[in-house]
Amino acid sequence: MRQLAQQVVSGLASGGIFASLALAFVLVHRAMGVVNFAQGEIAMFTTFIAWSLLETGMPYAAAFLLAVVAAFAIGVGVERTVIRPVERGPVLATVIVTIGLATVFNGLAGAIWLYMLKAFPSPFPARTVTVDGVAISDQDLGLIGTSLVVMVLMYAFFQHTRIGLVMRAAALDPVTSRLLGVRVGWMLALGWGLAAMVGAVSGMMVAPVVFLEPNFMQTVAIYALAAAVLGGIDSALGAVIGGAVVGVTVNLVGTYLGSIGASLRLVVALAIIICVLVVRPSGLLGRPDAQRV
Amino acid sequence: MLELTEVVAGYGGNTVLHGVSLTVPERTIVCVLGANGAGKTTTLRAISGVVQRSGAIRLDGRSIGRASAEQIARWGVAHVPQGGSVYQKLTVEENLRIGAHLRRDGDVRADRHRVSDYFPWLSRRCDQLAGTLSGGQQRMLAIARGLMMRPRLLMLDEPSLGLAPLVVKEVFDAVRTISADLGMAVLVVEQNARLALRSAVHGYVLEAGAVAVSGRSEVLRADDSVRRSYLGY
Repeated sequence: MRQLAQQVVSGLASGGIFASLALAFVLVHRAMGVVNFAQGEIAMFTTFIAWSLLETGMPYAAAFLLAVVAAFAIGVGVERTVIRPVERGPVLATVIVTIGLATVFNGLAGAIWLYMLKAFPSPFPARTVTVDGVAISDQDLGLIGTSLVVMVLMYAFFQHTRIGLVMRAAALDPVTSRLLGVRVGWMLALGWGLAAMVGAVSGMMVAPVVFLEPNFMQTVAIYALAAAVLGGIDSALGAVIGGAVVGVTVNLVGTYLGSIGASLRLVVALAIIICVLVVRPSGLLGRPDAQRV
Repeated sequence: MLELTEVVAGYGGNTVLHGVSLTVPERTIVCVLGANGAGKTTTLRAISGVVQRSGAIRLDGRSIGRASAEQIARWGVAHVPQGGSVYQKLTVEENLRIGAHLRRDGDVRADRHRVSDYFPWLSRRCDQLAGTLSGGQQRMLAIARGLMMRPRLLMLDEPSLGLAPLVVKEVFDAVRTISADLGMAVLVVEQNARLALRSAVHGYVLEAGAVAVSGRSEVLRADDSVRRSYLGY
């Protein structure tokens, strides 16, 4: 029982990471109906930027903030230059471009920072409190707390700012929005920028747990995608819940299925994606696409 | 304030307007009439910049024939498309706020009160999702949203379509009051010719993508041959 509680707690911690990146998927998908397969690689790239800044002796907080700002610039820049030309084409064209982007960022990171493992510091102290026999580390609490803060900030941005409202409107109905003077193209770019920011946070949370190298976000991206699909790819709250469920499930599978459990973790994530898409494509919280005829 | 000269417009290779010229003077309601497929909606779309078009379109002397839809909206043209197309998943209040999203002037609040005066039910349904309103209310909300832009020119595409006669009257009364109060030019496309000609000062009748007849409303109304051949009543 204690072991179960223990695994649930650390599952929730990784779920927090998945949830942040899942939210990044949701932001782009809500804006343009496309999964950005480069989301994880952009997060990886910005984590490397943070690492380089830290190497210059910059304090963690400053490096963190600068990396987030850089992520925003990269997100907006990529959308305006690479995605914009295919924006009005078929969805598949955009998807293929994002897959290409993933390769580009991966190769670029390898060329700049090489493929050796690098340690990335954690902002959270290495303390652990034990509650009723269950060890809860500050690391775990920090991960959960960070993703909750990210969610609340995003929620406040979209619900309570003018630009957030306009972005939602642009995503809901681009044609009508243009008639109201909304620069829909820039709203998409802004969505990409925000998604890259959220992704950067998740990258900097994952990096201390694993090691930093150009492929370190790839499995995380699959878990995050599973979380986003499970929660309903258009629902921010769904991304959080999906992240928690995937984090805990994957952790329990890894623990209780013995020697094969560890290698089944990714399979479980993929199975979640497939099951949701077959049984309930709108996910837990997504609204089914009802159309009035 | 709005002047179209020999405007040609269409979709893909399919030309719908074959040289339409019309004028909307300052502070005036002008209506465009005609049968289905005559090019009424396309005329509005050509002005607001959502279809391919050529020919001269001038707003307050400025050429807008090559500008993007969002730029034309920013220059003061509010186009309320057929059916209104309100944001179904946003609340009534949010719909209105998007109408005013570009404005930084202090009159936004006053305009918000004004649209509630025109459509009193609006203030009771602020937090309701627009998709749960009746068709007529959605149409009125879309007009109110257009007004929140404080446009120089309001363009309405078939505001009466599918509405009960009483609601239609309510909508047209509001449009007349608004135009008079705010000194706004209004270009309204209608199938209901009798109703439109009662509100408008000028009328244009389109046939197969060109202006067949035009003139002051009372003249068009009085002309029996125009009425029989084009207006169908």
